[in-house]
Amino acid sequence: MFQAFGFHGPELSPLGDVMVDVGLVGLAFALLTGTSVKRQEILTLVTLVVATVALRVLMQPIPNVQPVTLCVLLVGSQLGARRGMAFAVMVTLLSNMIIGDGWWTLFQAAGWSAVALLGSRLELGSTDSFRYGTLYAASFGSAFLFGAIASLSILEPGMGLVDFAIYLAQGWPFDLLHALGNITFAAWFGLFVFRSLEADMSLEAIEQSVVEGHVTEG
Amino acid sequence: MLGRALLPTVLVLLFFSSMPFVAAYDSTVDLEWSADLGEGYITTSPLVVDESVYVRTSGFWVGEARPQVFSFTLEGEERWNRTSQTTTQHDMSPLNFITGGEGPCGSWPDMLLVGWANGEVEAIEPDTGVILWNRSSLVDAWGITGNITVQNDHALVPTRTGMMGLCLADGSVLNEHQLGHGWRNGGVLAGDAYWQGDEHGSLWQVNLNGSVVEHPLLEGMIRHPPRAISDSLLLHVQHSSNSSIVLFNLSTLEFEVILVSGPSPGIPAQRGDHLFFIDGTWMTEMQCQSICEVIQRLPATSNGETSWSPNGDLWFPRNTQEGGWYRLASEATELEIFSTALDGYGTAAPEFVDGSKSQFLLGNDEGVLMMFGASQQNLGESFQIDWMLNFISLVFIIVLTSGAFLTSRSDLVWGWRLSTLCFLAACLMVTPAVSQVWSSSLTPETPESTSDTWNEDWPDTWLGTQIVVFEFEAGTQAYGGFVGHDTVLQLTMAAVDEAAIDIKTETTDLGLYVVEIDGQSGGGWEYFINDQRAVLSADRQSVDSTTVLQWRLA
Repeated sequence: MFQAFGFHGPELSPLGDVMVDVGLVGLAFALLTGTSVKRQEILTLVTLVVATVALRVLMQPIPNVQPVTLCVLLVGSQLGARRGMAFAVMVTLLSNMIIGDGWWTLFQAAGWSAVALLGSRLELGSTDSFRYGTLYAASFGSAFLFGAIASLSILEPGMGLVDFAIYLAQGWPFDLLHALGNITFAAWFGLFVFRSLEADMSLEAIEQSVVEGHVTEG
Repeated sequence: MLGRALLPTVLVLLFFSSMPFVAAYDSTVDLEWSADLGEGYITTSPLVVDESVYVRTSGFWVGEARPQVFSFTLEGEERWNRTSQTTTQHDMSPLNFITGGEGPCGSWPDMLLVGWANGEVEAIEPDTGVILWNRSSLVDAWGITGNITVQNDHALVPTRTGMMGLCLADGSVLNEHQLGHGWRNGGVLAGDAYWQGDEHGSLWQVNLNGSVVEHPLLEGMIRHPPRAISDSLLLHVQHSSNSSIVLFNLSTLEFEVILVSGPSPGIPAQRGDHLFFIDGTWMTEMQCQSICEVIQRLPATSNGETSWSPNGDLWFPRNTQEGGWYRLASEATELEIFSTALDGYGTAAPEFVDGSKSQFLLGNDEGVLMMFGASQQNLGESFQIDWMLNFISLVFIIVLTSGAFLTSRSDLVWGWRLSTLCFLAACLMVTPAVSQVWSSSLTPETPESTSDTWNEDWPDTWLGTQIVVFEFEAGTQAYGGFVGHDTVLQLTMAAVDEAAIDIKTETTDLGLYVVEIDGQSGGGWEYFINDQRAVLSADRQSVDSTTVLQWRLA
């Protein structure tokens, strides 16, 4: 409950924190190892993770403007659901280690993973015919999707559906701010991030075609 | 083509929306002196008469401390103080200076009339603090908390259980009427009757011939003297989670709800046919002629008194942790904030000193009386524009102009980017205020108190008052007898003060929550109102006059 736990839910003991962190690291590994990941792609992912974590930490003082959401959406869109979710988990884990770890980390990771999943279903076109409208709509919706899932961290026994609905509704002005922040990021950096990830896709596609042409089929 | 036309329009709109919506008060008035009045709050406005200042302290008193009435010179030297040894409840009755005169019941000198929460009315000699006479009234948990008015040769006193007319000459009782239970109420003369509200929502008509008629409203509490306009009375009625502005027609004797407003209303101000209502959410200006119309509503949190400066500006205290005093200049459509070094919760209106020095007195829950003055300028001139907000506006203007320029050069992408950036920045500035209003609109009804919440071990003097229970690991501690607190946070702070324990809070975008009480944090603290779990932050949840507030470790 908000009154007891504040924004996010209960704080965990050091052991609890470690368990959550280990669980999330394991999940990220599982998501990445379940698919063939190229070195170039890992490098891009790591760079993007570090940059996104730094951005989130730097923008922490600004209420509910979350650069992570757009990045997760685009990574999901360009690299697929598994890598997008792994990216979401890693960014959440690392940034929360700096700005505050706890029970809520699980739910934030789940929220951004859902956004990555949404991103993987998007068809954003190409650099030449980038579908800004689709990205804006998804960015806007992602804020509320993330807000709803992350808010589940405050659920506790005895808390009714109405109580939760009131809590959720209280956060709408800030969810709206989150959505507007997403659109702003999309306007400024959407195409840039999309293009960066698309370049990796092209390299991968080339490499894949070489492998398939000379090794698998040859 | 449409985009090219639309974007400059959006940019122009954003330009205007970027102007500061609340101009802060840049203090060119100086603090001339201050006086710490010891324990307790300054709940009601100080009073200045000639060269003397009068002020009272209020609180829920335990131990040896008790409420006092002080007199100071305009230079801040204490002249005398008077302590009530038997008052333990909050003293909300404003001080009243009576000029000497004579009437059918006798003659009287200049006097300071003081109503106490122990039910006594004291007439005090203003130069020495000596008691001229005193009179007792019935006490039920508390006594006099309302506004005493004077009519000819008698004082009209709102007692806990009704109304009492006292002869100013000797304090003898001229008349007494049993009405409903009152708190911070008071009477007003309109037509051939006095009108006074009570805690059960009834408006009482006490005719000059002595007969009494009750006009029951369906629900709510009337906690201020009614405001009289032509053939009607206006009331700001308090409900558990909001309030309503109600018109009572003196001809048809019928109530009409004009407007629903925020929780915990304060005392309305009146200037001719313009009325100004304050509460936990809004400052509402209405004009009442043949009908009442809303002139403007501005977000504000104020639950106490209002006052007028000599140049016609409306002042009222901001009753939040940030505190300060709102100022609405004549004809203005924005509220300004006057800040001091001791800002915090407060309900007392400023008192303005007549004269060329433009002095005014402030006091709040910190219990420190502050005299401000501007020797060279009048108050109207001393209000200046906040330069930080102007700087931010300038940045907005530059960015938006750049956007407009780029758009005109067909660079829609950059125009759009700058627009989104400015819109986001504007939203960042207004979201906290929007969030507060939004949260208030979501406020659920305050749970009713029931007999189940009452503990038989508690003293009977706590009946009908606000009670706070802390459930520590080592056991439960209860504190009661509180009155007049409007939010969970205010009530909690009162209990913490009484218990002399520490409390730590944390401010978030969704309000303020308690993280530690008396060094115990556990898994967090959560509160229950009358045994029902609450959903809002402590500073946004209202409480009623008989709330039992329980703090439990999660």
